[in-house]
Formats: sequence, structure tokens, C-alpha cells
Amino acid sequence: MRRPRPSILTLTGALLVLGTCFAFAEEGTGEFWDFMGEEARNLTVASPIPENVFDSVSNVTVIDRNAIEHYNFGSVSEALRTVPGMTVTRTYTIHNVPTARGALQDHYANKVLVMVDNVPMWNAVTGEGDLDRVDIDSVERIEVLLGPASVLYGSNALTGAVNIVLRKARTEGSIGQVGGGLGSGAGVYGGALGVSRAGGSYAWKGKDASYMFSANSRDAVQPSIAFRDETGLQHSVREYLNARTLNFSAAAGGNSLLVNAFRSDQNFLGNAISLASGELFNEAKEGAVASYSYTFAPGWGDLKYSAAYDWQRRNIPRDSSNKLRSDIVGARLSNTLSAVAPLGGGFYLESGATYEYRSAQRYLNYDSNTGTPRDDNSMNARGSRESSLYAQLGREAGDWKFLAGSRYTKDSKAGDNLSSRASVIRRFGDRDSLKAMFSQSFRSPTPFEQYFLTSTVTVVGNPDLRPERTETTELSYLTAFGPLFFHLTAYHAHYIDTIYRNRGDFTRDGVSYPNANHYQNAPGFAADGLELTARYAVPATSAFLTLSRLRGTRGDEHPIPASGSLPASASWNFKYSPDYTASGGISHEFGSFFAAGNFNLLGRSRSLRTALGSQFWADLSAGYHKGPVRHTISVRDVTDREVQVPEYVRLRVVETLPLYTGRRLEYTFDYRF
Amino acid sequence: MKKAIPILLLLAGTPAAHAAPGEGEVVAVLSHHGGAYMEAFSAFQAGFGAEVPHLDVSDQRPAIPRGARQIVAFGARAAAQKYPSDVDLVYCLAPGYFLDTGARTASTVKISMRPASAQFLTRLKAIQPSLHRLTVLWVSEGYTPHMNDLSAVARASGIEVTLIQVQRISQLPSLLRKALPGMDAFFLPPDPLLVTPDTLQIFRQFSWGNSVPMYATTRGLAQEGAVAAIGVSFKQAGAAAAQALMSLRAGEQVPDIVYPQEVEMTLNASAAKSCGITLSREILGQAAYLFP
Repeated sequence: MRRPRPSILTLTGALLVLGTCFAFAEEGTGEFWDFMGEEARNLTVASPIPENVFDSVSNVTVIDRNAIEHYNFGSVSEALRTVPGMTVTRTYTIHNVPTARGALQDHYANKVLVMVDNVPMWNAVTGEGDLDRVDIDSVERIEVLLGPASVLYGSNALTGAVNIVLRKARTEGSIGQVGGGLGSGAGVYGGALGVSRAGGSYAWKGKDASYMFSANSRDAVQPSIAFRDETGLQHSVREYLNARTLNFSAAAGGNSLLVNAFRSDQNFLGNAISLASGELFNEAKEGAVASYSYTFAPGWGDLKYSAAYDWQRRNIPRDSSNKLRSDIVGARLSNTLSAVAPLGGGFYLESGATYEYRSAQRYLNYDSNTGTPRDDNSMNARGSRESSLYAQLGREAGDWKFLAGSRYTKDSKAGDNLSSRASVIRRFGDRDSLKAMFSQSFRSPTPFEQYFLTSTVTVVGNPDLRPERTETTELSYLTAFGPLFFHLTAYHAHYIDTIYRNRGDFTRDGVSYPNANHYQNAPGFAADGLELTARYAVPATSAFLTLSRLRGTRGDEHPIPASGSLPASASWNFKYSPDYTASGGISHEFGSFFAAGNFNLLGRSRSLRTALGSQFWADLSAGYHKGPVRHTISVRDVTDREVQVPEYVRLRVVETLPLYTGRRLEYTFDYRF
Repeated sequence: MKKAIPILLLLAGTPAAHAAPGEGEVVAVLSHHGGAYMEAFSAFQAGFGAEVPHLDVSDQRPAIPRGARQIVAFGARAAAQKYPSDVDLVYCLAPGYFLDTGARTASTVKISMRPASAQFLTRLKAIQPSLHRLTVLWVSEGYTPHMNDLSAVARASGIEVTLIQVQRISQLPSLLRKALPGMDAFFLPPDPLLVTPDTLQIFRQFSWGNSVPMYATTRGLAQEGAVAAIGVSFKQAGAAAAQALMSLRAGEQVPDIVYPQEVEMTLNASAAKSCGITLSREILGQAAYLFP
């Protein structure tokens, strides 16, 4: 069946025309800023490293626009894979699952907070964020915070946070870009060659106002592979993830507005409960966020009010005939008031209050042919209210910087939480610092994890779940000299009451469910790790190398019974995490020509019953730029290998899943104005 | 082959277009072929009175001709290239960058984008007669001794200068708040590590919100909200480089740093009004540019 496709190019063109009307004619200062920017580059010792990395009281890694273009990252997920401690993996039912320091995301990617321009975005029913709601062409930089971050962001920043910052004009004037691409195996039907991407962006900045918008469409289709399903039958399957994204942001005076909307169509090896059909039916994800904030300075400091409405929908196939589907809809409305005030003596206080209403509007099973509802899964109109207060006291004294604070959260359905943090930074120079940090975090259980119950008892929610928590102690050293930058982190993380799906006898509201999938809190477990980033940058050449090493305990180990002919085994979180990861890249410009190569390496890991060897893949790209036009040819997964990752969600089914299934060729062009 | 003849003739004739006094001895090196660098280079050529071959180092190292005796660099990237130590080097449009001349045997001359301190302070006093306490902020280490000199000259003129070398941009708001009680105005030298679109917003809000005039040296900053910019324009820097080069070629002594006598003053009427400053007719008459 042919699916209707939105005409993104038409939309982009209309927006570009509309945007041009707002660009007032005036004498700009573009030349002045170009000059100052060029001169600053020659005075800065390691230009690609923003200062706040050294000064931040958190463990922050930044992937900026230069890195995105130099290494030709094809998506936010690809860029994130180069951050040590961050892997972006997949499960039976979700693509692009950000995983921080090996703490698995279970069925829904709800333990790493995903934000766009600092606005949290996640599904109110299942808690998952989505990395594909912003196209890489619209990204100015990606800020990755590893470790607990609830004092800053509340629930869901359990093991880390990813903030995707949109491209904007930095100086007065306008910038724009339109681009497109052709890829092998691209397009909805995975033909030999099809349109792989199209889109554009436009940004304008005046003296006291600015705006940007972008619209993008990207189709990512993997080469087909022979996949053996849970019944032992082998099928030729081909996975795709096609995303359309739209962003608009504007700022004037102290006001700022952000609108982000997206729709992605994707399929999975395991959409259907049984793979025996060999079908891979379409799943649709949609979402829209509108956020407004107002910042003003009343004299004693800075005050900011922000409000955001975040709506998300997911429509998934449930059976092998695509007759039964589920429609999952939720929304969040949040209000935050925050303030920063200097107190004298080098002290400053950051404080704020957040009130958030979450509505799990439905998780409805319905007949896709007739639209007839089948089962509300005990999820209709599940709402919750969460309010929190936070305060952080900081002090800057010469080369020392201190910060300590807490957030108290009261959740109407999931219990209360107090999370705290403390950081000390010692600066040895402008680009040389040592950080010691302790931080705690939590995640409230989602309505799905608490209340889901369907007539076929596929999974039973647990209303008695406690919020899951983490505690991390880490030591970080950052230094830059000449064109080199190094960032080394050692950490110890403790995971408490982790929410996971188990199978066994379970009782809810006095009713027993024998041998049922259900949610429960896991016993505590811990991990120690090392993360290293090294970067090198001179005007025409840049390179990076990242390494991470992880060793986790088995405190959450639990038995997995035999299934059919498959023997019994045991499962625990860090069983599935590679013992090390590495990535690297190099890019070089030769006059108007450029070339880049990146690689990723996942160390040995285990699936439920087998060992999985190390996995390697690499991308190469080369191109030519002249004036405003840039042409690039890329070869993704150049070794043409199937890259395998352990399947840790639907245990008892298959042992591994393909992350990439083979070599792909892509040509892209950009026109910048 | 017939088609190739005119092309060969054209190529053969090209060097004639560059024929100039001291042909091949002077080479210009630009950080980037365009914008401010090209503007200064054009003024340099006009001042020098002859066409000078130029190289662009934005994406490659310059291949300096063997016979070159003098190099004029436009921008810090151009100035920072490795040149033979026995070749005279004049560099301009490199704010905050001060070349280490220790290993050089020939002359090295920097064309400042700041006017001489006394000249600058006299202009400030004319704009703001009530000025007694001036705060100066900068980041680049190279500026430190020069800001100390400015402070000494100011003291002789009855102006007390508070010097703040900003270590971390994130501290800027608290540094400004802390310094507020002791300042009648503040000055930003042309320091690319300090003056960015982000920090400018902080400076402008601080200046306009507290009625404390902001002074700078580049026209762009006056346009962006400084009450006045008194400095050396890109064209003036190019012309001063030509003058310095001709002096070197004439065997005259040229100081390591040349503060051009000819400077440009740009005023911003809105900024002046926000800071409670009335611009006199005399001052307005001296301004090269006035932004409303």
C-alpha cells in the first residue's frame, strides 16, 4: 500500500519565501563580525572547544557544527556514537536508543533526557525521547551531559541528557541552506537509488530579534538481509527509518519561542509479536512541542519563566497481519520559574520551581481495518501531576568554583524524591581544569509501567513501582595545549531500584498473573568506568579519538527460564554492554577538496546465551566545495559488514540484532546563502 | 594551436601588469581573500602607489617568492606564518596578536588598530567631560602590557583606570556588576577573544541598563551599541602599513608598533542618549560616522 508522503520540499520553499520577507534591509555588521571571528580563531589555542566545557560544573561533551561537517555525520545518533560513554544502539522495537555508560534503556528510551534548545521532550505515556526529531542539518551543536542530571532537569535525566541546539544566525544578517541527496537503497521502497534527503533552513538575526526555521526529510534504508526469526524461519528483511522534521524558533527582547514538530515512519524486525509472518509493518511516531520563555533582569539577578506543551503519538502494529494496531497518545504541560542571583562574596544562588501535568491520553488497541476499539489496556486518561523545587548555591573564588544543590520532587502517582549534587572545579589555567562531582538522579515510573494491563496479559504494569535512582561520583581532567585537547573521566555509578521488565508470577490489585511479563524494581548494581577524548585541530585538519572502558557488577542478576528448545540462562544489565568502545575520525581539506573518515568499535559483549565479538564499522566521505556549493560522496559501513548488537529486550527470542546491515552509498549537495 | 597563441601571449603579458618599483620585493599575505582584509589591502596598494602581488593563506601556506624582501601581512593568521627572519615584516589587522620578534633579524612592525593612548583619552574626555573613572576589560594576554601603559597615560590625564583581564567569559556578568560602583565608563580594546556577538549583548545591556557609556575602537561596535568608537579603520590600517613599508624601504627607523595618527571616530546617538551623554556640535562635526 502506498503511503501518502508530505511534500517537504514544497513546504521548505514556502517557508524560505516567507522568511525572506522578514529580513529587513539595513547596514549590517556582518563584515565586522566575520573579521573578529577570523581573528579570534587565530588567538584561541584549541578553537573547537567551547570554554564552558572547562568551566561547566557537569561532565559535558560538545559536538559542534564544525565537527558535524568535518566528519560528515549523517544523523544526531551517528554524532552521539563518537562521545565516549554514550552508545546509540537499538532494540527489537526501537531504533537509535541513546545509552549512557551502559545503563540499558529497557523497552522505552526513557533514561536519557532528550532536549531541543534546552526544552525536554518525551512521551507522557512511555517516557521515551526521540533523537530523530531534529535533522542533523538543522543542528548547531549537540551538548551531551553524562551522568545523573535531575537537579537540573528533573525526572528522566537519569543517566544523562542530550541537548540538541538548533542552528541560528550568530551575527546580524541571515544565513540559509538548502540541500538534497541521493542514496543507495533509499526511498520508501528501498530501490537501487532514491532521494535520501531534502531540506533547508533559514535564520535571520537583527539587533534585538532573531528567528530561524528549518524543514527536513531524510530516508534511511538499510540493505536487506536474511534474518532468522523466533520460529526458526528465515526471511529477507529490510528496515527503514524515514523522518520529517520541522523547527521554528524566534527571540525578541527577553521573549523566545520554540516549535518543533516531527513525524517518522519506521519498521522493525519485531513490530509483530510473531515474526513468522515475515512482515515488517510501518510504525508512525509524531510529536509537536511549543515552548515559550521570558527572561528579564529585575536588578537583583535574572528571572526566567518558561512554559512548554509537548504532545506525542505513536502508532504501532501489534500482530502478524497488521490487523491489530495500538495508538499511544500522551501530552505534557510544564511551567517553570527559575532565577539566578549574585549574593556577594563570589556566591550566587540558582533556584526554581516546576509544575508539570502529564496526561497519558490513551494506549488503545484497535482494529486497523474498521477502527473498532479492542482494548484500552487500562490506560485511558491516566494523568499525574509533578511539582518540584530546586536550589543550587555556587561560589567562584579565584581558580576554584563550587556548586551544591538539591531538587525535591513530589509526584502525585509515583512517590517523592530528593536528588542532590555537588561539584568542585579547580582551574589551573584558561584551558586546564580538574573537576570532582557527585550527583544523584531519578526517574518516575511512567503510566505504562504502572498501569498497563491488557486482556491478553502481554505485560502487567505495577502501581507500586518506586522511582528508579542513580548516584555517580566522578573525577574529570580537561586540558588543551596548542591544537590538542584531552578530556579524561573516571567514575563510579550506583543504580538503585532500576525499573525493568521481568517474567514470573505477579499479583496486582489482588489478582494473580502467573508467569507474566511485569515491571518491578531491580536490586542495586554498580559500575566503574573510564572515558577519554582526544582531539586535534589545525585550520585544514582535524582528528579525534575516544575510548571508554566499563566494568559493571551483577547485583541485578535474575534467571531467565528455558524457552522451547532454548536453554535457561541469567540476565543482568551489564551483561549486554560492551566492555569497551572506541571511535575516531580524521578530516582534511585540500584547497577546495575535502575528505573524512570515521570509525566505531564496540568491544566484546554478550547476548543472553552467547558471546558476541567486537564490532567494527567505518564511514568514508570526500567532496568538493566552491563558493556556496558543496558536494559530498559518502560510503557508509564501508567494510560491508553486518554490525550486530545484543538483543536485551525481548529475551527468549533472538540473541542479536543488526545495527547496520551493509554498505550504502550516498551523494549529497548543499547550497548555502 | 592557433587558439593557444593568444592565451600564451596573455599569460606572458600578465607579469607586465604587476610591474612596479621594487617588483617582486614586496609581497602581501592576506588571512582571507575578501572582507576587511581586502579593504585594507586595497588601501595599502593605493598608499604604496604600485600593484603588489598578494597571497591568500585561508586554506594553504603561502609560497613566498625567493626575491621577496618585504612582506605585508593582513590578519593574525597571515602574520603568524613562518617567514624568513631577514625579511622585513609589516603586519596589520591583527588585534590582540603581538608577534614574538626575538628570532627575527629584519624589522617587524605592527600597525595598531588602537590610536595612541593620549590621543584616545583626549577624545574620550571631549565626548564625556565628566569621565574620571574608566574600566578597561580584555582577554588576550598580548594586550596586558599595553593596557598597563594606557593606565599610566590616563593617570597623567586625571583619569583613574581600573584594569580587568577577563579570565573566563562566563564571569563577565559578575565582573561587570562588581566593577559598576567604580566606573564612569568602560572601554573594550579590539580583542577578538572578548568581543563576540554573545558578549556584546552582555556589554550593551550593562551599558544601556546602567547608563554607563561603552567605548571601543571599531566602527562595528559603535553600530552595535557603543557610545563611540575611536580607532583605526581597516582602510587607515592599510594606508599606515603602506607608509611604514615605504619608510623601511627608505632606510628610516620605524617603531615596533605604529599608532596611526589618522583615526576614525564613529558615534551612536541612541547609545549616547541611553547613557545620558549629550554629544556636542563640535564632537558631532568630528565624527566620520553617526548612527542614529
